[in-house]
Amino acid sequence: MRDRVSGLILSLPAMVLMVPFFIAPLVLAVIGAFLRFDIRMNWSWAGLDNFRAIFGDVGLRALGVTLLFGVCNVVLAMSTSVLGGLAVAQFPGRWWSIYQVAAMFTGLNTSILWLWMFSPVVAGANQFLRFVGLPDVMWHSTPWAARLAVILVIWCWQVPSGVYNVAVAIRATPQELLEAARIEGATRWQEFRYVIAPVVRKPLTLIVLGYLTALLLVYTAPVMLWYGGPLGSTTTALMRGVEWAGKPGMYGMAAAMSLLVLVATTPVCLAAWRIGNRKA
Amino acid sequence: MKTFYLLVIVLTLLVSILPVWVMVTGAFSDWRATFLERITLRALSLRSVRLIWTTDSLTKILIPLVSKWFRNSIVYCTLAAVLSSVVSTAAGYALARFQFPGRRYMNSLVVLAMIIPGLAMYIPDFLVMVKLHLMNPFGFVITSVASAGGILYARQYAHGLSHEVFEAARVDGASEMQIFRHIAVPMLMPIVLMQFSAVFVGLWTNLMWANIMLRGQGQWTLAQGIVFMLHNIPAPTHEDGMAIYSFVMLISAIPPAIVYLLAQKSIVKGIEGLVQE
Repeated sequence: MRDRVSGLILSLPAMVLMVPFFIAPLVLAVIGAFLRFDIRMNWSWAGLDNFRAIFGDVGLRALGVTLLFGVCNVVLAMSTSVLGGLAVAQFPGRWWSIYQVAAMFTGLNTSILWLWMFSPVVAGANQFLRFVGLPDVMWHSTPWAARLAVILVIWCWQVPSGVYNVAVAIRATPQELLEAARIEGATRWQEFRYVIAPVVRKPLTLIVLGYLTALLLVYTAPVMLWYGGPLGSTTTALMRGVEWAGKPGMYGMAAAMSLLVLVATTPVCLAAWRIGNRKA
Repeated sequence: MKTFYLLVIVLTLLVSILPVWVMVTGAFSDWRATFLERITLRALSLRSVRLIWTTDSLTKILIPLVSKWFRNSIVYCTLAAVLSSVVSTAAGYALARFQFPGRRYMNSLVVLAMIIPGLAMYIPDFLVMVKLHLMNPFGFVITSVASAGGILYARQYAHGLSHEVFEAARVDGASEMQIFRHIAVPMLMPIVLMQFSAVFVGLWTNLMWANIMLRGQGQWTLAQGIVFMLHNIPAPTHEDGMAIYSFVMLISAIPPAIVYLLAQKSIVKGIEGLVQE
């Protein structure tokens, strides 16, 4: 009885908040995707019209851009974090707190600074290209360059916290396990594969899940750098959805875009979750 | 192998530090110099600070606006971080320690909320907030309070705590609330602080949700203000505007930095606790 009452009391505030701010929007995303509705919730059945409009319009392009940014950044950020964390863990001392200092720097600030570096006026990136003997790039008006810039900015933003978190997790691995593996003649890779990875898998999953979702749903960097341009080449699904959510006649399309993003990203996150919780 | 690791460290350090370096040198440089001169400290100057305090248009417009946005950000982020630390830790602790009706559903709901990307929910979230008349600072704060990640971290960490301490307190006649308040919370402090810093920094930098929820300039956060200022600084010249802008960005990076530094040990302890669980 005591357990039941205490459990309910302590968990109730979180549950009460999750109903309107998680369950209701989730239901709305699922049902609203098949409706035409306005803010007063006057609705009519739309069937698959919202999806047809998305796939026949700029929405499809936005989904492709999202996929490109998501895949590139997940692969880049994850591999750099693990490699960097492994490298940092090889050297003693607390010098690597420097990554944490850099991690305090926000995505917004990073984006703005890179905006300057890519701008024709400040031209930091082009000065560097000239320095290594390469021609200038019109970052703001060339679609491939604008996309590359977004990928680079998100990568730069994610690296410090990724390296820091992986390094902390690796350093927390019980030393006796590592020593036993070394005595048995394990190589560095075997140490990582069979000792470190199973130990750090769970906390790392929780940490990287956050990165995964943020990376798959990029918003700040493309908005700040190019506002979705040039010619919509950096407009992501989320940017398009937010644009539609601001237009009363397009709420159904915004909900449908949300549902598509959900359907695309949830399996990735679910897979990461399952890997993290698999028995070592 | 050591050379390879050193190369990785040099590359990751360069990528990590470059933006911070560009901002700090930009705030204290003369922007009439080239980019390379600025980042190599060959154009050091306090012109940005001097201009802010001596130019009429800046003292009368910029300073009051930035102060207002700064104050808003501090209030919203602190409130959300405190509430979230309390609510998420309590729920995580309850899930780890107690058997109560609905526990299994709640566990599934939290895992579902963790798996479903929060950002993907912003659009339907916005529609719900309009319907609930919560398009204001209160709505901006309250949506960050129940964090699935925070609940899971706390649950995971609480699983690893020694149960004998709780049993001993029970035998001594302590109520469950007293046990939570006086025993569990101090033991869960690393995770509480980790959650505090995550929510504070997350909300401080959350441009998208702020853009959706906060409409009037008086309600804006500093992140929104910084974006607005990008093209609206009343500075004498474009170069002066850039120097002042760098300085404001430097100021905006200070509160999250302080929170991170204060919570640094707890974040390490929290991650170690999750590893050892």
